[in-house]
This record gives sequence, structure tokens and C-alpha cells, in this order.
Amino acid sequence: MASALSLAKFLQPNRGFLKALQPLRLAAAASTAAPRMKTFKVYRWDPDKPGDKPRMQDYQLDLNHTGVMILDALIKIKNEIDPTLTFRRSCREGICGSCSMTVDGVNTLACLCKINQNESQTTSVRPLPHMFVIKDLIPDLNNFYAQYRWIEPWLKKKDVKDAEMGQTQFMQSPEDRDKLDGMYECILCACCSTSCPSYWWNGDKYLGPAVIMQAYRWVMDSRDDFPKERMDRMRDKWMVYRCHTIMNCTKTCPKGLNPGAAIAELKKLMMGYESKGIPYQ
Amino acid sequence: MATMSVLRCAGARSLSRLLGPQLLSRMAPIAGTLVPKSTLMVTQPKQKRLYGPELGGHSDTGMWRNERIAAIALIPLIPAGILVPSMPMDFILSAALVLHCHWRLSGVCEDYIHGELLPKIHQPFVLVMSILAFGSLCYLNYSDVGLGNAVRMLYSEL
Amino acid sequence: MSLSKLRMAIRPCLTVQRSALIPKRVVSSEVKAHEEMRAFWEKNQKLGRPLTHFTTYKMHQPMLMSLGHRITGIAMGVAFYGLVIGLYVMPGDFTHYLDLIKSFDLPKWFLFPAKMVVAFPLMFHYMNGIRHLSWDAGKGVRLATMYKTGWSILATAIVMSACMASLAYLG
Repeated sequence: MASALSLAKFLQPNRGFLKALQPLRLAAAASTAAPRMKTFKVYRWDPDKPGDKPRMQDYQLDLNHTGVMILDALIKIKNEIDPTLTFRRSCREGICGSCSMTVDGVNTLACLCKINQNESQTTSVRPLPHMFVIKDLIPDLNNFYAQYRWIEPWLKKKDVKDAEMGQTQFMQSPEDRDKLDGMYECILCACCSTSCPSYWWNGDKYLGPAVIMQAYRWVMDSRDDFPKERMDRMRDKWMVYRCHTIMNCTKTCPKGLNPGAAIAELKKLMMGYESKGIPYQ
Repeated sequence: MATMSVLRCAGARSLSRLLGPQLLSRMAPIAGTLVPKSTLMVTQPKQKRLYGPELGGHSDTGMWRNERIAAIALIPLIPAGILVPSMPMDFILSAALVLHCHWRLSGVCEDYIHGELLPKIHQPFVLVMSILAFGSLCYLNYSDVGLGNAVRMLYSEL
Repeated sequence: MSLSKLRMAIRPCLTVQRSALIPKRVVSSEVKAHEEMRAFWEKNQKLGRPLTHFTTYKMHQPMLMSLGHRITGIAMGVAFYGLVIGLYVMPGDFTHYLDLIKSFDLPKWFLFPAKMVVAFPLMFHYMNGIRHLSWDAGKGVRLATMYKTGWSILATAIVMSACMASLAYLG
């Protein structure tokens, strides 16, 4: 019986080997299939060309020989068609937050946004909305980073001297740790802040959803000793109260987080009510 | 000149560490060779500038709470004012409506109107319009049919 | 003279203000953040960099509802102020103007939709306002819930405007 079973196993095709062959078979099929050409309209602007105006440039790509994500398309354009196309990218897996841009009118990460496989529809790729452009798809995010620095996103302890930091653990219960869920996962890609109309009109004084969610994250951290001081720094009419719950931020977050909920909870805390953290999208 | 000689005597390197880059750059005309060109001068940003953060703004939490109270008050007041009109109801409804309109219209103007001169115009303008509207509503309630009755008549008789 | 200048130069760096409760590194980071923001605006305006689009941002239901809330609010605010102030300023009382409109003898097929169109902003703003207040209390902030409540508010507002417009025909 056992020998019959092992013989049957031996005679069965090796599924692992067949699975490894699958991409090669698909590629072979693709190379023989008719090309599926899709047009990508990409925002271009060169600061080094005097008098250059921002324009949309068309690129044609064969979807049979392009990867699945928008970032694959951009890299293919840069490698094979136009090496001057400039964009930020790093991890290619949606964790670094570098490749945030607007694809077909939606703020997202290029490495996580699947290419619309309908080749008759043009896909437009633009930099994040209402931002100053450094070049092509690269916005100037220094204001965003300065606002993040302003909320002081680090642990502040009352009675621990600098020299004693790192000597013992700061304990936190599992319930308190759960309150940080949905906020610590933020990769600061700036998709949400640049989707917010309030941030478009008042980006110099309004902090924006990403930064306010991180401010709420540090207020909710049970290990931090200065929640009241953190909130008191943000009480003026511009920093938090420009939020009118438009909820573009929650809709666009490529990581599925809910900054709008975090801002609502922070406003509750600032009024003196209790807060228990936020739900995911 | 004399300062340069004092610095040379004191040991320029140790003194530059003591003074810090800010002070050295302030002394730049005198001791220019000691200052690195890329030093960021730490200056106080101007108040009420066109672009940039506002410093030392007062707390707006009270105003936000009052806006929510006026809005919550309007939830029962509007149906009650139309379905059961009476003089005191008309006055309370008028007050709550004008408060809500004034605060939100001021907020909308604040959102969209930026600059040095224009905010100084729209803030008193909205206030004057709100006062005039409330006065007109008092007249409507006291000398005319009243707000609740006006809406009822418009929708039931027309 | 140069020694007194030196004394004046040294004094500020020895008397730095610190807040009693907050650790010292907080003060410098706040100033650094302000400096970075200031430098950002000055640099971008000096370089004349273009500002990217926002009109091509894709509309979706929550954004349209919020836009509708703002537009109906502004429209009603302006119309409300204008009407009541106009009623005070113009000669004649409310009944006089109501009779004037009645004298036009407008047909029912025009009046009913017209009354719906006038009532809809109030109903929409009222229902969406309740939803806004529930968000401020932290309720219903999930994206799926927002879509559902948005559609139900739109439907309820249309039904309530129809009810208001049909008040004249209920006797």
C-alpha cells in the first residue's frame, strides 16, 4: 500500500516545476500575441529649460511587455523611451512612500496602483495636486516635512533625564497599544494631505491630515507624558480647525488608513471628551 | 580691527565654538572669515505673514464648540419653527439661524480670501450683514407675519 | 569699544529661554520648523515653480456631498440675508409680496418643481448637517458608512422637498 502510494506520487507531474515554468509560458504567449498599445499621458516640466511650460507628454507602451503597476510603466518609459522622465521611487512595494502621484485623478502610490488594462483608455499621470513642482513628477514636500517636524513626532517623558533614556522599557498595555492601530502604519507619502481642498487653499497654515493624524497618534500614545501640551500647541483656528470633514483623505489613502477619523477624534479630545482610537477605512 | 586681534589672542577656534554660528554671522562684517557661508540665520518669522504659519494664535476651541451648539440647536428648531410657529419660537429660530449663518459665512470667507487687505474688508462686512439680517428678522417677527408663518404661507398658499 | 561689543555679542548665547515643563530640544525644533516653512515659501516663489493641477482631481460621492453642503450653505445664507433685508427695506409687508406672486397665476407644473428646487437645499443641508455633527462625535467615519449615509441623505432630501412642495395640495 505504502509503496503503491509512493509510486503514484512519483508518477504525478512535479507541480512545483510546472509552477516555475508558468511565467516563461506566459511570456512566450505574450511575445507571440498582438501588441496591446496603451497611451500614458505624463506631466512634464523641466526647470533647466528656460521658458518651458508644464505639458502632458504621450507615451505608448505595449501592455504585454509592461509590468502590472504604474511604476513599472514609468520605469519602462524611462529605460526604453525617454530617459529624461524624472520621478521619485524606492521600495517598489508601497512601504517607503516615495512614488506618490496622481493617477487618473486619484492620489496614490505608483507602485501599488495597477495599470488599467483597457488599452483604448488613456491613463494620465500627474504630480500631487496643488504642490510646487521641482521637475516632472516631483513635488516640493519640504513644507509637509516641516509641518511634521513642528508637531514633534517623538516620545517626550516628564521625569526621565536624557542620560537615562534607553535604560529601561516604557511599559504599555496591549489595550493602550491597540489605540495606535491605524495610525502608526502611516508612511508619510503625502497622498492624503495633497488631496485635501483645505490643504490646497491653506497649506501654509493648516497642518493637513497626515500630520494631524500623527499628532493624534502621539497624543494617544500612553507612554508620552505631554498630551495636553501637544494639543495646546495646535488650538489656533488654522492648524486643525480648517478641517471641514471633506474626507478626501480617507478615500485616497493608499495604505487604507482613516486620517479623517483621527482628526475627528482629536477634535473631540481638544474639547475635553474621551477618545479610544480610530477604525480602519 | 581690535576685535579681530582679541579673537586671535583668545584662540579663534575655541571662541567660535562658544559663540555659536548665529552670533558669528551677526558679527560677520567684523569676523567674516570665521563664518561658514551656508549658516542658517535663526530669525523670528513675521506675524500675520501672507504665507507661512501663524504664531501665537489664540485658542479656537471655544468658537468651534459654540458653532456645534448652534448647529445642534437648529436640528429641533427648524422643524418646530415651521410646524408650530409662534412669536417666541420665531425669535429663537432667528437668533440661532443668524448665529449659524454668520459663523459659517465668516469661516467660508476665511477659507478662500487671503492677503493683507481683503480679510480686513470681509470680516466687518459679514458682521454688518448679519446684524442687518437679524434686525430685519426682528421686524419680520414683531411687525409682520413672522419667520415660521412666512415659510408656511409660502408653501401652503402659493 | 571692541570689548563691550564682544560682551554684547556673548550675552545672548548664555541666556537662552527654556520652558519649565517642556524638554529643551523642543524649543529649537519649533524654530527650525518655522524656518523651514518660511524658506519653502520664499524659495518656491523666488524660483517661480509652477503649481500643479487640482481641477483634474477625480470627484467621488463624499467629495460631492461636501461640495453640495458648502454650496447650498452659501446659497441659502446669501439668499436668506438678501431676502429678509430686502423685505425690511422695500415698501409693503410679506403678505403684499405673496399676493403679488399669487397674482402671476403660475401654473402647477411650474410651481411644484420650483418649490421643490427651493426646498431641496434646506433639506439637503439639514440632513447632511446632522451627518457632519455625527462625524464630529466620531460616529460613521468609515468610508463604506459614508457612502451609504450619503446616498440615503440624498434620497431623503428629495423626498422631504417633495413633501414640502405638496403641502399646498393637502388642504
